Amino acid sequence: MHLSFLLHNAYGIGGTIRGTFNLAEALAVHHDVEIVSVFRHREEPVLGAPAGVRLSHLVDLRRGSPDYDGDDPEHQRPARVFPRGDGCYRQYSRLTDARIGARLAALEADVVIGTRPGLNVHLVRQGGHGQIRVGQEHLALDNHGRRLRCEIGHRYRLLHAVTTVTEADARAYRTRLWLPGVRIVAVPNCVPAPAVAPADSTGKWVVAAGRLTRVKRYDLLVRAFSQVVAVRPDWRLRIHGGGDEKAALRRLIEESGLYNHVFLMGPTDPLEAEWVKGSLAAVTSSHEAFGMTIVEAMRCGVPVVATDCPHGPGEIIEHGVDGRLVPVGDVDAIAGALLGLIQDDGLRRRMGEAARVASARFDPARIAERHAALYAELARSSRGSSGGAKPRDVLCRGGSALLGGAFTVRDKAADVIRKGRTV
Amino acid sequence: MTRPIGRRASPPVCTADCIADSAGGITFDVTDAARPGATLVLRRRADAVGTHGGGDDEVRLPLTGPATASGAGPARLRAVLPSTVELAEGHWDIFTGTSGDRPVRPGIRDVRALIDRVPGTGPVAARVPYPTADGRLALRTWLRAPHAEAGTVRCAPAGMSVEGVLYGAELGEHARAEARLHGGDRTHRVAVTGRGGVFAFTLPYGPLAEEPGGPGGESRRWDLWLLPAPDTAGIRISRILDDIWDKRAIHVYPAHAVPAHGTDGRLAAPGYTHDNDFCVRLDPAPAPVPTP
Repeated sequence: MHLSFLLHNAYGIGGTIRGTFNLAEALAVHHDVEIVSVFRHREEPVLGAPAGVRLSHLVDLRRGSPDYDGDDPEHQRPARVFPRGDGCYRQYSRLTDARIGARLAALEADVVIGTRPGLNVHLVRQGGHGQIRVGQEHLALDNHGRRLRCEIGHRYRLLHAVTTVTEADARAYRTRLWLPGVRIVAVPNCVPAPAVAPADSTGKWVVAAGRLTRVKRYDLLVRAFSQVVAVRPDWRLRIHGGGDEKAALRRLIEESGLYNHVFLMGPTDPLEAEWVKGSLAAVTSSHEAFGMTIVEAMRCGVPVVATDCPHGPGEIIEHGVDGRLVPVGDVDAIAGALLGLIQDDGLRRRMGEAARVASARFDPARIAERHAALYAELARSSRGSSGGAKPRDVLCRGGSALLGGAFTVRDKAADVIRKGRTV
Repeated sequence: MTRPIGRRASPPVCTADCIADSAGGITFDVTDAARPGATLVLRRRADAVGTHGGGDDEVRLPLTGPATASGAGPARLRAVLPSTVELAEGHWDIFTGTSGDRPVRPGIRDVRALIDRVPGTGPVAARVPYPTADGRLALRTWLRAPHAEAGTVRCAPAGMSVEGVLYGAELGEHARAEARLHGGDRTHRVAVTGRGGVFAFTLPYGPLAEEPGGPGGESRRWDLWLLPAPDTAGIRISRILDDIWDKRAIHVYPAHAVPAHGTDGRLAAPGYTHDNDFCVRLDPAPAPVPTP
């Protein structure tokens, strides 16, 4: 199959970019894969270009580039196709409307995959006829504002499938939006096997990594670690990442007298060599759309103590087997779970090994297979439906038996919508 | 739209993964490098003033291969820096290519063996591979004999206490710690307690803040030295037995306001220099906010 990913900016840093690169690279083993980056602001992708994947861009924002698009008057006019509710709306413009539309129309891909709500809306409104349109959701529906939920609740009906990164989020899309005939499938993010040997469980360090923002609740982790140090002063904590909360966390560390035990390491990339320096990892967020760092640590043989927050951690960690889940916001529970694993070397080692084995299910090859199977199934259903079906059938009966018909209707409906709009 | 920007052709950049061992040896696995016969060149940066070492300023390590058994991946060549090769203290930039002029990009740096390191007997050598600000691989080295490693630091309003470990020297009965004004000749001595390899002392901030020297707005740094006996040469107190090549932004300690004659007072805080040497900084206290 020819697969085309539409990505906001392949040249930045972030979970969606990393996830898309890993998935595209794994899919490229058996398929023809390209990534179309809407923006390009630097020469090379920070995260390194995925092997075997074609990478192109639509809007050049490199200062000094002869193709620099930043001064294009169209780029100063607000976007019409890209939905206002998407958090990146202000970066999009009449220019991106046109460039994305032109590329989608010219695309000869079997499957075109959007990687954020705004781009998924582009697929619906500008995608070529006969293409399978898959919208990826990397953030949870709960985290979209009301405006975006309304927009996608309406637009996503013309997607062939929506993929979420957790079952919990897939349930939300099934129950809270009315998307008749749209396949809603949870496929977790993938994490490659680390390039370093697994942790040996002897280091007396706890490692955490993520942006230093309120939602990550590192303040809870620091408070919990105060209890840990009271019992085991030989253990210390490293928190990797940068962000707005850094000064507040520094103050908390100083006020708690933990400046010999808790260290703010700053932004670190790559992280895999950092996990193996510890023998425990901690995630104390109030929300994790998926929980990429949990899987990263587990793949390195490091068991994770995580809050059982929506949506990811509970679907990644099997409590008591390959890690521990604790109630959200409960400092005593976090400290208790950490100490339980700190005080029992054998248990920590066994959980680390179990984590390493269990997390192999997130290997890019396995995750790519699940996406590829979905794409193949959608393509089969779509081709087998040339007879067409009446919209009424879909509305009345829905369900997978009429998927093929639904696709045709969806294409026709999309055509109708498109006819009214020129970009 | 996808046309590459015209630039002069540059050779492909190669990447090196490193594995450090606790004895001080480092293995470099270099991808896309280098043809057989090429070398990995370690060149000491000119701005590193060799106050603690001498020796050659260039070390050439043969790149041999293949280092990988994975087969499918790009060809990798391996260079080994044994712990027995002495490197002078400083920053070493790493290059490859037959003429040793191609910079190397940092790959995965597996330096877990450097954490909480306990050195063997003999001179204490520390080597930490690190990425430079412009994305190149370099090596930070220290070579100390003897060596005083700073450990736990406790800060109080009146002063700070530090515990550490001494390697390659014995602590005498009248051991002292000495604060030396950086860029000046003033010193302050305090008593050191401890036995064998472990030392501890408390340094009050007051005398450091009271030192005359320049207008009140000036920031000052006091470097800390250990004198195992009153008449011996000082040993610089540093923290080098781990994987953190620059501790300034990571090992941060609380600052306390210290009154000083003729000024608004000073903020005193222990910390590290860009060489991971232990010090106390005295900065002008922020002017008190006027109450309306």
